[in-house]
Amino acid sequence: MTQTHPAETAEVDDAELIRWSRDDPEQLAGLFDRYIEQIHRFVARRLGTQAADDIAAETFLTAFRGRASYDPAQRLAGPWLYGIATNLIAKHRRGEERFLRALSRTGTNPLPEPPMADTVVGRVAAQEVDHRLAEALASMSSGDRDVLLLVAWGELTYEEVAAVLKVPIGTVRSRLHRARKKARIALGGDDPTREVA
Amino acid sequence: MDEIKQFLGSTPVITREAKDAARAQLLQAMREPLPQPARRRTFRIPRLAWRFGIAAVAASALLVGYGVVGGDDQSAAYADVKELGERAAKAAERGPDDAYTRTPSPGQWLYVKESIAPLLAEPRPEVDRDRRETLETWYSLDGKQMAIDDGVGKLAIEEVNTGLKSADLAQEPVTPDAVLAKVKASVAATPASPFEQGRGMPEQERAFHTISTLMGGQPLTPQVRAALFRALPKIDGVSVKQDAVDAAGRHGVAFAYTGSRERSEIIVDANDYRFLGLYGENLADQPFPNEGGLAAPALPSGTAGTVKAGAPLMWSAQLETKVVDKPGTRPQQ
Repeated sequence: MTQTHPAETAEVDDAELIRWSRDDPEQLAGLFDRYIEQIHRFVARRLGTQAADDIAAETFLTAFRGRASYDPAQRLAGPWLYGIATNLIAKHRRGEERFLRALSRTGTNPLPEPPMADTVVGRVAAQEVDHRLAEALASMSSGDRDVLLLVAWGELTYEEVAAVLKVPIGTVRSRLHRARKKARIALGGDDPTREVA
Repeated sequence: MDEIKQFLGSTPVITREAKDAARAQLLQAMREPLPQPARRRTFRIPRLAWRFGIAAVAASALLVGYGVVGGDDQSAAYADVKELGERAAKAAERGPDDAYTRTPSPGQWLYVKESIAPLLAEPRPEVDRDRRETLETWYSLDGKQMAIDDGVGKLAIEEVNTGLKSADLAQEPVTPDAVLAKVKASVAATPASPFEQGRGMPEQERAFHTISTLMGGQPLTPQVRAALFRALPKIDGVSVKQDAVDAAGRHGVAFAYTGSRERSEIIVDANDYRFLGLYGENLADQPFPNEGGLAAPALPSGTAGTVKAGAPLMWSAQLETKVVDKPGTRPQQ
């Protein structure tokens, strides 16, 4: 976990902001400012930037409408928002699989993206790995993929994944196990998600 | 750092434009008035009642192409409402969902053509059993906006202010109990209108009406529609009516709720369970509130007259639905 959580540097934690927003709806804009970039990036990596523009916006609208049901014991709202985004992504399963299949065939992002001149060299070098991982991700069940990417990209704990996907923690573990196995086979050996202690 | 974590790691961050647009959308939602149930609006704003009559009886995106789906069998009798709910749910699950595979926000609209019995005479809440009006409405696929010809050829686009929307219901888990819980939470969070209070309408009756409104006026995914069909039998007081007639004279089968003052029906085709329309009938003589004109506030203490037992309060028939690219576009234009 190298990423600094936005709320860690703020004076007021997420749960408090959400609580305030029940009486003062615009307080939730604070949550938007803290999380929009990471939620958008998470969605963009799964569906492309264009779809991410809509889904990231919808994530915060959904959060706003559902703020009364937020568990105030969860001081950080990141997992909650990733869960909402994942549910919205679920409506685009076929789109995501098309995206990944196209990526696995070409090794390049099939959706129109802004220019990335400074990353071109790196992308070419990583093309073969991307190709294999895209194929592995596309061939996973959507449930396995959700768990893998919430852990790998969203940096959610198993418990957080279980809570936001509303599945038992054992299910999270078994899904992650299957997903990692597929990724490992695709890369021809090492577990690509294993954390080095 | 491992390969999965790096995979697509060069995806660019959100653009300033997209961020500003998303933030503006959120702020707009924050500044909207608190949602009110459709029925409350119906009686608080009588001049608009016909419009929200439409909102309560319009089609869903699921019904596009739905007519080709066959039912389990052709039998007309149902052992109980649970059986009807199960059969309707299975038919809904087989329905196509291509109208709703995108994020429920921008893009296409659902065109709905229907026949309704218009209000008899405002501000009376009953409809005229002997007249029909053909109405065309467009619903944004996120369920948040509706558009209607204002009668002089100009399209009026309005926000739909029912508490629950299709996007809310599509949030996992989409199970009968979960959608029913959302419906009940919406009912609990919304004060009863003067009309509902005056009728002593219990929570389960308001829940039934909420589902009627959703089925009629919100584009719903197959899963949500199926869950709502299975949720209906779980509401105390909901029964099956073996023969019900919509405003176009088509016979079907209905989920019915008989309250102390009013009987309400959600009518579906007996063979393929597609949504046909709604019917509501007054069961006892009842005063109705005098709520004045368009901008008049609710005046629960005042009454304007009496609605007789047997008077129809709503009657509709859905005639055609089609996904189109923009409001105002009709199929095959």
